[in-house]
Amino acid sequence: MKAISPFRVMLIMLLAMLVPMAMVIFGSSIVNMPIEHDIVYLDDNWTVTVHDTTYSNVFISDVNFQTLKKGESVTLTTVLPASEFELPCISFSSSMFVIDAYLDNKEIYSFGHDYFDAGRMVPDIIHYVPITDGTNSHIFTLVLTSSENSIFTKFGGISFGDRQDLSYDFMRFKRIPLFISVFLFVFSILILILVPYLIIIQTRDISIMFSAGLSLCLGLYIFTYNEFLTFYVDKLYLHAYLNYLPLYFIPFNAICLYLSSMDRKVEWIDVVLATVNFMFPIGALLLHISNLVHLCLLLSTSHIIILISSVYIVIRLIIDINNNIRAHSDYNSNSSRTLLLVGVFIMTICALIDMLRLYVRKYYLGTSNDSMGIVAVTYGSLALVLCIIVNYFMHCMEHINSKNVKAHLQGLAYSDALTGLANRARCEQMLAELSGSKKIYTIVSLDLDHLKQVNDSLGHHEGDVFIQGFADMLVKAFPKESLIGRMGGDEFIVIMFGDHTENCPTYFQILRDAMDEQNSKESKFSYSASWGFAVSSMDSKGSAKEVYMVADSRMYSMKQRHHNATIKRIYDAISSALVEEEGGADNDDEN
Amino acid sequence: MTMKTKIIIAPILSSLIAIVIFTVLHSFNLSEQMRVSYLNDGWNIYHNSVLQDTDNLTEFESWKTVKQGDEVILERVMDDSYNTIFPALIFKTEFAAMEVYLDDKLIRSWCMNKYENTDFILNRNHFISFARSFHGETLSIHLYPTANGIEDYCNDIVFGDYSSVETYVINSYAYPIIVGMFLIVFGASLLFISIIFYSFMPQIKVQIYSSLLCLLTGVWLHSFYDVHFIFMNDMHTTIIGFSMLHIMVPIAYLIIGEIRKYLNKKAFNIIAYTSMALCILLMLLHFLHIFSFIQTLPVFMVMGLVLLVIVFYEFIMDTRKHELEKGSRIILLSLFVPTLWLIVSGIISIFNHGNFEGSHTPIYYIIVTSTMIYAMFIMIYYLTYVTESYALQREYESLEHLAYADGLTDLPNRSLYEKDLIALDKEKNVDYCIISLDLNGLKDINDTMGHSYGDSLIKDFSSTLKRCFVENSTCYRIGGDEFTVIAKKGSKEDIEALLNKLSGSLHAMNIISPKYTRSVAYGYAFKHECDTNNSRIVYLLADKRMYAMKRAQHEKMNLLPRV
Repeated sequence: MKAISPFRVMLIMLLAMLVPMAMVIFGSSIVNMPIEHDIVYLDDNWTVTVHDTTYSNVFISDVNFQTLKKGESVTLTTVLPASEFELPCISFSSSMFVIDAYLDNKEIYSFGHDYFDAGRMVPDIIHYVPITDGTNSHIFTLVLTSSENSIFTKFGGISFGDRQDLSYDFMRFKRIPLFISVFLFVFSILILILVPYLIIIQTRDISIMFSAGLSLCLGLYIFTYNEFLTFYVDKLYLHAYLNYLPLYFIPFNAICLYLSSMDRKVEWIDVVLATVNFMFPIGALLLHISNLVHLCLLLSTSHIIILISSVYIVIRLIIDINNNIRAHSDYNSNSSRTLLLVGVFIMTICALIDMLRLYVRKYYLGTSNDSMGIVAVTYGSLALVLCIIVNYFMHCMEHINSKNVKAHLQGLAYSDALTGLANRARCEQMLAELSGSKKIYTIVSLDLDHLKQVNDSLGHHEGDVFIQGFADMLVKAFPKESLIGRMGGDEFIVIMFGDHTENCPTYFQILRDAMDEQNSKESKFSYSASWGFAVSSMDSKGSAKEVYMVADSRMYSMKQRHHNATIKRIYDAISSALVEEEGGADNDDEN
Repeated sequence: MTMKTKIIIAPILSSLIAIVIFTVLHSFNLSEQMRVSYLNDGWNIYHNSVLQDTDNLTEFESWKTVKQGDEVILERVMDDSYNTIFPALIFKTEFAAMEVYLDDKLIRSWCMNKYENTDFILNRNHFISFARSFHGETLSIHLYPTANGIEDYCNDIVFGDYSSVETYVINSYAYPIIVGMFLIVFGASLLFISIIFYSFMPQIKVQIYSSLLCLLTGVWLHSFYDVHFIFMNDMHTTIIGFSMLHIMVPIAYLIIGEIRKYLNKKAFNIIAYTSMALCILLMLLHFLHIFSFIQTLPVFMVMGLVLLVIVFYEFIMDTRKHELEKGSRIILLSLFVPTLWLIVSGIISIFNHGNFEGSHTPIYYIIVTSTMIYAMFIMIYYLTYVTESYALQREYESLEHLAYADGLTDLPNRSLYEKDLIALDKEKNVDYCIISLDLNGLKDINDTMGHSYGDSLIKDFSSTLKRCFVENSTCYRIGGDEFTVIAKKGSKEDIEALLNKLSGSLHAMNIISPKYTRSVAYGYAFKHECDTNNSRIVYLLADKRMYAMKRAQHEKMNLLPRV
């Protein structure tokens, strides 16, 4: 890895920080649509009637809507100030409430009665209540009737302003969540489209599918939580499904993602959790469709399931990573899993921040007007999805890496460094393979003579050159398909498929010619070698090692002949010298 | 499954999934009871105070004859058959200043002061809401075009309840809105990740450029369809769009240059730098109020065409020669598809005056889809190429150690030694010393005591050697019992001292654990002794001296017993 100076790294990091900075600027009020008339936020001075008790001059955020049982209502009354709005309008969002609005005791707006009376779920939407005459002051009354026995009823963001300004005002804080949720949504669709390619052609890794699922659920959840549905979809029945199902499906996707991206045996508890998490949303959907239990009532159950699942995943991740570090093998880094943990960690922290903020706001600051919503979770999901992408990269990377390293290591481990021929290990592996097979093969055993003498008299360097030269000759002499290996210092082996009894003399002749040619050029040392060959069919019943032994013994007998010939020559030379008193007999071996 | 069937099956499955998803998404479309109406007819159209004979905006043929400085007035009486709660109009004006009156009361004006100063006038989707008492009042739209030959200075006028109109507009531009948002976040995130990775992977410049291009494309898409009003201040939409276009061209050149490593080839350089300079010049001209973007659009189109030709050329060249890596080809392809469509749509807009910016026209889908395809290519690129190239790099790093280290001693091996010798030859005027060392008696120990003892002898020796030669020197094991040291600094005395230290430590070890005798023969030679640049000759001299020492040791050994 090329080292980059710390200064440059700092500079690059600063550059990278420009991106989130641009994001912050984009999310800030600088790029807000200019508002023509100031919007009046109707936070205080409400008269509230609940359970036949009337409280006056209260903040809307102090009203505890959660205590309302199904069918019970709360009446909110305030005085609208006189204004100069062109199209005066009151907007607010509600969840699980049937709404009636009165202006000077005249009904001007109602929502949700048909749903409530039919026993169906009242959709969550943003209401825009028109005020006919904004130039005068009016008494505005809202009657909220809870449609469910749920503590998750929601009412908030009540403001009075021009119709168009209210639309612009809505986007004030929600630009970034909108972008992120749309990104998560489209991203998951793109991955789903690419899934066949990724799974079939690239790797068999199905974790990418669950990342797509998780991204889809998170995207839809953020989208619906921020009430964008009112703008994009005018089919109210869809709101019910989109508001809750994505949230219910999050734990299933998270667990499956975790299971498929860890190389770990799946235990029964994983299966149980995954099944429960899969059955829960399906069951909820069925119950909802049959109108037995509305989706929104299962919200607290889902919160518990999410809590259990996320605790389980985080603990398992930590345990698994710990195990991985302990059983650390050379080619398996845990960087990708650590990254997954980082993503989950960020997400959990973000969710905690949001919950804490909500809690602090509700019980300490006393305002439930959470215009910030789930901002932290939004950023957290973006971070999580990005971590998942990078994790997937690294996962693929490790996969390819370990495959390649293995191949290269095999190449490295099985070749002889000096000659480039196969080494002893490779040859023995080949012999073992051949032993089991029914193929016919020919094994040649060769021995290079006088290596020791060359080494001792001329040095190791020359010895190496000597061996390399011989290896080159072997490559020239034997057919390309044959495996040529160096078994030890001066021992060589050639393994050929098929019966080469007839061809072997030709190969040996080529080798002999090559040696002679080299000897005529080279003055420092002269080549000579002994060899023997054996064919599997005629010499053995099974073991290739035996065939090799036969070839080897034939080689030895040839060596012996060489040796005897040398001794005979010396003997002849000495005896002739004795007899004729003449010397200077040549021998083709050097001592 | 063979690779071939896989290659056939994957795209089929992919398109099936795509079709299913788009069908599902399509079912989200607006329901029929959406109460909006198109105000296309019933207008009195005055062109320079001359009443035209058609009352239908789409049939008003003489848009083309409208010149800069003309005035077009559209008038109609609004009736209350719609019974809307929040009456609102939306329409788009292009390069035209505008005033809207309801019964002579000015309710909206757009860029009138710019028109008087003959400044560049922006496109905009106008949302105009007015009081509920509009029944029977006359709506008149005064248009003051600033450019010639643009069809539809004023596009589809839609009227209805504010919420309905809003939902209607968002839905009719849903595709570019969604794709643009995706491209922006996707581009920004990838940009962030790539820049961070850049600090330890300097070769990922292409990724940085292409993610930047992705981001810019997203911003451009939003401005092209003027949908900024949905989520942000849309006063400068057109300027942003044009600026994005003019930055995209240089970035595309940077990408091609980076892929082809062309950045130092002359012809390409000239074209690329000229285009980049021209783009910056055009932007300067606009912001200095000399020539507006709309006036210099033909120049830009030509540049785009040149870019397209280059991309096309590269593409053809590559299909013939197959020079590029797989990943680079994907990036090239990703550039090719959207550039082609942008140019085609540009040509259509110039020659045909086609209404190609409206929603739900074929070109609308083509443009947005081509940007989507771009994002898809980038994703494929990331998922395949980046992972592969990272893997390769990491593999090289791990293999480097494996290939160049001796397994037994972890000293550098023969391959690295050879490599370093070649490197030494290239350094002129640097003196160095090569020491050749031969471990005595390894063969005997191997033969008599077994290989494990031989191995431990080698390890003993190599660790001692490593401890003695620490600074400015590298130790290698180049054969079974052969070692070498290349020392870059130090005098003859220093080397002698170190070698004495080595012999001394070996001797000390012999006394501590006398399993076997550790002894070494060595010889060293300096470069200046040989007066050559060939390090091999230096080594041979050292080797020769080592053998001399070995012979001397043998003689001593043989002699000693006799004494």
